Amino acid sequence: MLRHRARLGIILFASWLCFSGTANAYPTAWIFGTPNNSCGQATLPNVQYNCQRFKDGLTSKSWPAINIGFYMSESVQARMFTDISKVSYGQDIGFSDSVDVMLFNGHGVWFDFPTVDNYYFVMGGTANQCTVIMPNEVLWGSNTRVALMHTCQSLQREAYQSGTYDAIRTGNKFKVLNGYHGNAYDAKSNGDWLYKYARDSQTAGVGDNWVDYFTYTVGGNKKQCATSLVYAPVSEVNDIFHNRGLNDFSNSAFDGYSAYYQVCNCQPASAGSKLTC
Amino acid sequence: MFTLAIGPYLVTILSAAMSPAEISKNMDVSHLMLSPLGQLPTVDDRALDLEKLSTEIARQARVALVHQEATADALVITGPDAEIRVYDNGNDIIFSSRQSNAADKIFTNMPKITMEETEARAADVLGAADVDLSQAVIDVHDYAITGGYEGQPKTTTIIGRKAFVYRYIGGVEVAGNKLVLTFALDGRLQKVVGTWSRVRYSNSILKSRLTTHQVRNRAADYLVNHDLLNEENRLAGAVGSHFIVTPTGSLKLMGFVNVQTIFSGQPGRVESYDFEI
Repeated sequence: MLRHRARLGIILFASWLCFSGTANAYPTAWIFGTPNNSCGQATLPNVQYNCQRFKDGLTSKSWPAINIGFYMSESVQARMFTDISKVSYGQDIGFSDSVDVMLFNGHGVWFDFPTVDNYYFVMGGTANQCTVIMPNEVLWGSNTRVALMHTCQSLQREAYQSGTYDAIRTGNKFKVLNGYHGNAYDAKSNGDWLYKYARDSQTAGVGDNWVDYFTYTVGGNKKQCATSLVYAPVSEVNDIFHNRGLNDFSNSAFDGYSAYYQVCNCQPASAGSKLTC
Repeated sequence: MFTLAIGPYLVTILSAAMSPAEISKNMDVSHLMLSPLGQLPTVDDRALDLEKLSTEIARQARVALVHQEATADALVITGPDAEIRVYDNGNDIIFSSRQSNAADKIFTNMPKITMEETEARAADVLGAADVDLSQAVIDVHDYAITGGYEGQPKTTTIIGRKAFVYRYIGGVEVAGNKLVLTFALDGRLQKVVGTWSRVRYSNSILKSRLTTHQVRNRAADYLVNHDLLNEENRLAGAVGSHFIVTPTGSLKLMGFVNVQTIFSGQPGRVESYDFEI
């Protein structure tokens, strides 16, 4: 009997080791969505579905569900995205900057300022404050490698040129910021593309697939301009944009260079100029 | 009630007290088609001829694709530094080839083929994928990097071309169907991604029995019944129609209605909802 128990113990221990090893071999992802908010902004009824589709896409390729965090509505608060070095209540290292891949899906808006432009994104809960401001309050890179900002105006070319995104990163880990020049749609169809993006971009296409899947240049009044920003030496940005994935990171050292990828002459339906090249 | 001009749209601010009839009066119906134009196919789409497709892709990409295998969720053809993956019984296609790190070389070149030649090359790939070219609207764009070092001016350089291919059957857009083909500056095919559903026309619902007036009213009913205009920061936008592909592969004509959210006085995310027509 004791021998059986010992054998069972060994099997369980081996299973635990095996599972732990598998889980830890995969990076972590946290998903933040604000279908509802207490901040007086319109609800976004497709956000929860779209976030779930992104999660489904990750797990469809063996990304362990245990490695994926899911925060919706009221639980999404400013402290999760702000850095202690910039804001007194900042706890990003426990949340958005604690994982390899971070998706935020909600409202956002860009402000054209005389010096460095600002980008605000809206929280679900009112604790701390209702908005998080780039670059004044955000500093990613302690752990985060890829940030996917599925909001309006989250990666505006004018803001990039003004230096907004230079001041939101630190260290060598943070490599890719994906977002939109102009407004983004809150539609179920974007959820299906989020599924495919998460499924297809784990080992390659972290930037290029984003641009391909989420850009709509014609069709009805859908004009959505997806953009991607890569922080890496000039000799490596293309490799990261095309060949690296959500689960395949580059460890290159940051030397101050960044590259903003865009589809030329994409004209967003609203809130942005045509991307002339 | 009052109207507000946002970009190309004239939209009407609505209150919960408005009746569906009042809401429907101000909707933009320029994207609404109640039946497709012309003669539609009577024969179902053929299954993808992977051999023909992989041969054409290998020719245009100048890569070898030699080994075929079936995984749990896809058919995969691989070669050194290149792979074609086909999901969902031929609906989702991903071809990617490993991209060069030689960004310095890429950054200094200009396209060597014309837009028309790019479109023709894209059409050759579509033909090999058994895409009915009369259903394909090809929209070719340059794509570019805007890059530079922190605190320094950024410069924009064209690095390739992307052909976005949208699907229209009888002039009606097929929702969720889009292919994107990426070409290097020298015209070499680098990547094909997207979804092109195998349609079964036999059980399709291609026409609406409603009039434009009835569709407007149904859209307004949908918004009211789903409590989608209960906030002052939401506006009714365009009403249109598109085909969705059902799980069995048949087409179904659906109406859609867009809702424009207003964020900090600016147009924010556009939500899109499907409804039966």
